[in-house]
Amino acid sequence: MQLWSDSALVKAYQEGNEQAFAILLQKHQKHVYNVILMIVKDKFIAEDIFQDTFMKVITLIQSKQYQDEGKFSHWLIRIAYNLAVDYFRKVKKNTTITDSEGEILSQENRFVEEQEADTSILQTENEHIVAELLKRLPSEQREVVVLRHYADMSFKEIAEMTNCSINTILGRMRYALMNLRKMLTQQEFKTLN
Amino acid sequence: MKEAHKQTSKFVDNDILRYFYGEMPEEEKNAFEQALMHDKNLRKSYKELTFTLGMLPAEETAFQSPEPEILNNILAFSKVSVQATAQIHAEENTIEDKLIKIRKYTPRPIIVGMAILFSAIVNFSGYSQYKQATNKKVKHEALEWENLDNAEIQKIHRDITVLKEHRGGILPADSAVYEVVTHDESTTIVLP
Repeated sequence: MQLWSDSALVKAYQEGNEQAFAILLQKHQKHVYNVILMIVKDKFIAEDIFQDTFMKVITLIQSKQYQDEGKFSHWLIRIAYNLAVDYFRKVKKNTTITDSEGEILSQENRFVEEQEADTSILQTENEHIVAELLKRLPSEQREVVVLRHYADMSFKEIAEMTNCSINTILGRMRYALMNLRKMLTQQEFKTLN
Repeated sequence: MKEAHKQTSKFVDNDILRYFYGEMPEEEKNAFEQALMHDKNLRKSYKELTFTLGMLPAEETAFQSPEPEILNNILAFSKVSVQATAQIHAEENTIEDKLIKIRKYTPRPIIVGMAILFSAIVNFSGYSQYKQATNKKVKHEALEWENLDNAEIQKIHRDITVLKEHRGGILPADSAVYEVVTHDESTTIVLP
C-alpha cells in the first residue's frame, strides 16, 4: 500500500479525490477531537466543534486557501483549538457553574501541596487511571500536555498558538506533570486504604 | 569539573522538558547531558519529571474517538463540497471559452492601427475621401454579433449613427473608421 504524505493527500483532494480527504480525516480525527475535548470537556460540544473544524478545513482546502507551508496536522489543530477556545470563552462569559447547594465552583482544580511520589505503581495498571487524571488537570495545563505530548506540537508552536511566552508553556507542562504525579500518589494511597 | 558546574548552574526544570522532547540545539543538548552527570539536583528533577512523562498513557488509552455519525456528516459535506467545486470550475471554463471567442473576433492591433491611420486621412480629407477609401474595402474584419457584449454592440450602434450623421460631412477627429463585414454582410460600421 502506498503511503501518501498529508501534502499529497491535500493536493489530491483539491483535484477532486474525495478518498484523499477520507484518509486525512481518519488519520487526524483522534488528535483533533481530543484537543477539543480537553478544552471544552463535553462530548457533545466537542463533537459539534469537531464537525465545524473539519467543515472549515474542507472549505479552506477546496477554495485553495490552504498554503502548504508547515505541518498539515498543526494547521488543523490550530483551527480546532481556535474554535474550541472561542466556544469556551463564550460559555465562560455567559455561565457560572454551581454545585447542588448553589455555591460557585471553580472550573480548575489546583494542587498546591508537594508530596513524594511512590514509584511502585505498575504502569500497565495505571494507564487508564492516568487518562482519567489527565481530565482533572487545570485546562491550561491539560491543553499543553495534549498539544505537546500527543499532538506533537513544539513548545514554541504552542506558545505562538496560545499567545503565551515559551516559558509560560514550559511552566504549565511542568506543573501538569507535578500535579499528575501528586494525583497518582493520592490515588495509590486511596487504593491501599 | 569546574566547567561542569558552570554548565549545571544554567539549567532549570523547563530545560529538562526541552531536552526530553528534543527541542534543544545540539550544543546545548551536550552541555545539558554533561550537567546531568555532575548535578545531583538536576538529576533528581530529571528523574521525577521523566517518570511522570513515562506514566502518560498511550494515545489509544488517552484518546477517545468522535461518534461515527459525526465522521459520516463530515464526509457527506466533503462530497457536496467537491461536487460544488467541480461545478464552479466547469462554469469558469465555459466563461473562459467565451472570452477566448470574443478575443478571437476582436479587431487585431494592426487593424486598429490602420483604422487610426485611416481616421486621420478621413479627418484630413473629408467624407468624400473616406467614401473612396471604404469603396476600396481596405479593411475587413468579420465580427459576429452574438459574440460581442452589450457594451461593444452599443458602441458599434453609436458609431453607425456617427457615420450616418457625417455622411456628406467631415468625421470628428476622435473617430477611427474602418469597415466591418458582419453576419449578413450588409452593414458598414465605424469603430472607434
